[in-house]
Amino acid sequence: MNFIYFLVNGPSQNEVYGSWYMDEGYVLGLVLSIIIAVLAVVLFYYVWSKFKPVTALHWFITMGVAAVATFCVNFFIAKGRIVNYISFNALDQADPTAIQRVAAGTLDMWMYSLNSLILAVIFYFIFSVILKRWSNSYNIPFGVSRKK
Amino acid sequence: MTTYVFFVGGTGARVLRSLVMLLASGVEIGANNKIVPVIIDYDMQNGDLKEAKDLLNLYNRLHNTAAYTSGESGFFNAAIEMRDYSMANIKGDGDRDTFAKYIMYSFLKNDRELAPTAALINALYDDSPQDSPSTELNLEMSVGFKGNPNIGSVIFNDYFNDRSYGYQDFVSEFGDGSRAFIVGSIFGGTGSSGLPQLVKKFRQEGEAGSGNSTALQHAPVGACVVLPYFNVNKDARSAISSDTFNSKAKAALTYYAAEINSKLNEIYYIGCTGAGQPYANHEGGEAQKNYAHLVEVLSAMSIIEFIRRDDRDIPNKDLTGTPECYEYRVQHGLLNKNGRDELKPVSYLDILGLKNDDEKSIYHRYVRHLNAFAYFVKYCLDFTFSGKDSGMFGQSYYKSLGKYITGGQFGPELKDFEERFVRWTKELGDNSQLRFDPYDFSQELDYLVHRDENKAKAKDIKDTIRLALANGSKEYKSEPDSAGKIFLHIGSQAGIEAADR
Repeated sequence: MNFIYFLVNGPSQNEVYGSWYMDEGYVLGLVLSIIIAVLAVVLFYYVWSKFKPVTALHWFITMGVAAVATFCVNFFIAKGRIVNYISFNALDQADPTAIQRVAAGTLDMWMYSLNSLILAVIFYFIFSVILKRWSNSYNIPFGVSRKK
Repeated sequence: MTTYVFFVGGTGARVLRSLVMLLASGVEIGANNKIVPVIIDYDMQNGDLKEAKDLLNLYNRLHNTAAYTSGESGFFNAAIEMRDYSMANIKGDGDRDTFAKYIMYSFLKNDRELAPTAALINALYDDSPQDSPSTELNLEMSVGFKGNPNIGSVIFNDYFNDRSYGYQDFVSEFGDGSRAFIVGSIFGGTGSSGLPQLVKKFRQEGEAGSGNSTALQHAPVGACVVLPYFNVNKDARSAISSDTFNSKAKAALTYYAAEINSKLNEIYYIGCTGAGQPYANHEGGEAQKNYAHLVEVLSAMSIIEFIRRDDRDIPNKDLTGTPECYEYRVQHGLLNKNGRDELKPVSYLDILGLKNDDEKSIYHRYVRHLNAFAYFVKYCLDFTFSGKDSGMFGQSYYKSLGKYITGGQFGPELKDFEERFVRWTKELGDNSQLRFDPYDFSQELDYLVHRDENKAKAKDIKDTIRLALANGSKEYKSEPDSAGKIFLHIGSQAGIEAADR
């Protein structure tokens, strides 16, 4: 997981709650990225493209929306979960400013959200390639025919 | 079933043009039915005829590309099969360019024994000098009979006698179950002389007892008799005067009632009072290229009605009674203002009846298809051929089919046909005699079809077409040869979906 969340490793090392990422943060971020990417792909290929003619531009827009959504969701979930993690493990005794800093947003949280965004974009692409062939937009973002 | 349709003279050519447009839009003539056109004219340089021939060739190439199987419907679906005898230019050799030379009048006059015949001819035909518009014997025939059926009926016999015109080939091919239909005007020269001769000849054939000729003798035969529907500018130098159209038509109708009608199964009479600005007066040649007229569209529809008629419903089968006669009277199109008739645009709803859901209604059989094709044409010209649907962010269907649609032979041909369709509808709308104005191609897609003012405009036509094209293009399986076929098939579906909105 450290490998996947490469942006978080550095900034989280000096934080008292740094172990939260290994305990649940990485898995949670990964799962949320996959869910949001799958939802976006299904919405694009099997809902939107049934009612409106879509192009690669719409595919990129959907990807952008999914990426931003993943960023925001992961950021706010991380914030809530980390505050609970600090309180539950009494980590604020070691660093009394931890909760205040987390509430304002720390660098590791921003990096965590950004890393999840990158994962969501990768999953969006992978699921697009898998799911597009049965949809009306089989050739978006690339491809000519559905199958030979 | 094969229906051999004879298009005689300039009006025949113009009706053929409208027929091709109707069939291109997907109007159905019935499963397994096909049309074999036979175009007969003296004046092969006639502009209307050249346009019809070009259109016919283009139609056939697109029909072959579409390659529909039996039971399928769509644009360019109906089969129009050309034969070697489909174009009959009943023009004699260049030396016999006047009627007098054609019948060797000077020889008759100079021969003592034949002099009485020459005198009889002199009594029947006006022998004014060649520059006189009333001349008949000295009529210069390079561009046709110029509204003289008494000359045309003599020369028309060549069509039956000269094997190079292919009438005998037609008779040999005509089989049991086939039908024949003749379209021609009765106020001009070629049509009014050809129509009765063809009918009489059809019914004479077979008296000798030969197989195929018997089939023709007893076959269902229909005719569309086009009555005067336009007038032309007065020109003292021209042999054509619309002042004589009605009297010629009356004389012809009287003759038909006595000699022709009982030999037919169905007759369609279509005409219209020329009310607006007269056409320019051209005796023939390339300059004779009149704007398309609603009457020609209705005449083309009569052909389709005849072909679609079930065998059981064919009237006057034993040819002992009277044929079924259909008359069409346009009641709209004129607005009486202060005692004067003024033209007003005529819409589909005025002419063809309100839209309804009955599958047999005029709307479903004709208007829906025309609307579908108009939407498809407009979309193709505005987006497909203009390149707006191409590129990285282009439409889904274009990614698959684009380079095959716009490139090669298919794309330019389809575009050419579509531009001719636009021109045809524009001519109908701009016709100075009667404005039939169903489409405005200068407007956005949603405003293309002129609708009842009380009804809301169509919405999202562009998206409807794009969605249908995207859905349909899934059929493409990386076989370039099939791209044109698939585009026409899915385009038909897209057009119908747009028309149904």
